Amino acid sequence: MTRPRLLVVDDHQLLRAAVVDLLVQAGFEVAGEAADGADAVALAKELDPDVVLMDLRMPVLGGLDATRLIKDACPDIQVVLLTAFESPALQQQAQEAGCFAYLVKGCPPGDLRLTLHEAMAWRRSLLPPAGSPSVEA
Amino acid sequence: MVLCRDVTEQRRAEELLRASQRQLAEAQRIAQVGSWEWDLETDKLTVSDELCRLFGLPVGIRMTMAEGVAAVIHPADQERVATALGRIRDDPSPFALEHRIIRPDGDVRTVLARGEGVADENGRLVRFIGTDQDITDRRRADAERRRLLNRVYEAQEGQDRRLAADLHDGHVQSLAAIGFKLEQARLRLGGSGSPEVDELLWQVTKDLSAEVTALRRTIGRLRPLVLVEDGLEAALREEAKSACNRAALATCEVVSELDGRLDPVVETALFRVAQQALANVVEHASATHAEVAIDCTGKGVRLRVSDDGCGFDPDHVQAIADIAHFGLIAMRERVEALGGRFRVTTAPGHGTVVEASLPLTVATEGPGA
Repeated sequence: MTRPRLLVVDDHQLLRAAVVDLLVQAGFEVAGEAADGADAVALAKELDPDVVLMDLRMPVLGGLDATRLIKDACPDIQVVLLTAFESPALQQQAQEAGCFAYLVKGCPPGDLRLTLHEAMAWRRSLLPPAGSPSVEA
Repeated sequence: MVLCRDVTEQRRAEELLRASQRQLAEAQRIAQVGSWEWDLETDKLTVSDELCRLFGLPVGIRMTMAEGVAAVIHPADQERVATALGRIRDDPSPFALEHRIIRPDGDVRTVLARGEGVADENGRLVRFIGTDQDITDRRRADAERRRLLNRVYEAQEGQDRRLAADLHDGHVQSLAAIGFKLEQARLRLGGSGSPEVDELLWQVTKDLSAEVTALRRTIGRLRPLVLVEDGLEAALREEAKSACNRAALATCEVVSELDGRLDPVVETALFRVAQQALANVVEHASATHAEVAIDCTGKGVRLRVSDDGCGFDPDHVQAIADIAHFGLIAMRERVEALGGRFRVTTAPGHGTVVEASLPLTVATEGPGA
């Protein structure tokens, strides 16, 4: 099985680098990085990652709006929100936007890896089996 | 025949009376208090010179109460004053009524009228006597004090917001990054590292995670995100849950009849009162059950935080209130600065009820004002 492909999106450069280093160490493939929601949407369409690890509050375009656009364009890409904000209303909004999970920064790192694996497994369960004929309209 | 009468005593008495009247008039002038007498049968009003000056009327003017109300009472207060006068005609007990007047030169003043009924020898209510005091300066000072207090609270909330943003955008992110790096180091060591080092790194990562969580809670107290995003009811539920976790409370229920969001200034003020009241429950009450209730009452909203704890002697707390014990002064000032009412009901061994009522909307100055 191929390694899970991720897109990591966070405007905090130090945090984004630490997350990327950890996930690479943990065996994930980080296909791309973005520092705002607009870049995230463009890269998601271009790179087709299994999972987008998305910050909430970012310049240009926030994480929730970016998630909606990604889910509209590529419904099978899973988005995991990783934010410092803990709010029941935001969790609800994240769910409505199509997020797979809502994680709070400072959660045990093991939870992050486990959630990403679950999101990846869910995404791959949605895809047609490898080698199956493609259907053109 | 010449009749002679010694009037020395009479003259002395008259002089004493004149002196007494001068002193009374001087006292009324200094205190800005005028006196009046209202004959219920004739509706005739007899007023002191100072009252005439207070109302901007010619000294010695003669008028009925009805004429007086029409001439000087502020149009917006006339109906209220007339209703009050109608009510007291049958009730001789002391009354106090605050209202505005308009002087002939257009100056609007605030007056506090006090009076009580006088009965004749048959017990029939025949007249009222009383005073009117100009309290305009006091009311202006009260309004100015409330305005300044609100500025202080706005500044404090603004400072808390900035501090929360700094902590959130800087320290929380950095600490979370350090946590990820520690986890990365632990993974890199893998099976090659000693179990002790692995255990140590795991423990440090866990401790750091707990610190980040604690820091997020501090940020939440400085600028409650749940209040901003979700509103007062959700914020109160979070605060009640937190109080349960911090104290040996069996329950801390939130009963809300709110429908939708309130004015942000009202939400913040009521949340801060609830926050302080629940902190008191946690730290001082030794309570088993607490309740936070909030409901709208026509033009206002009322918050009620109650517990079944040890209560306290309000007089004792008043004596040490200068050190703002229990934050009661801060809570009261915050509510009253917004034109609301604040009340604490308690007794040793009988729990405590903190109530705060605020208008649904309040007029405040913007940050740039």
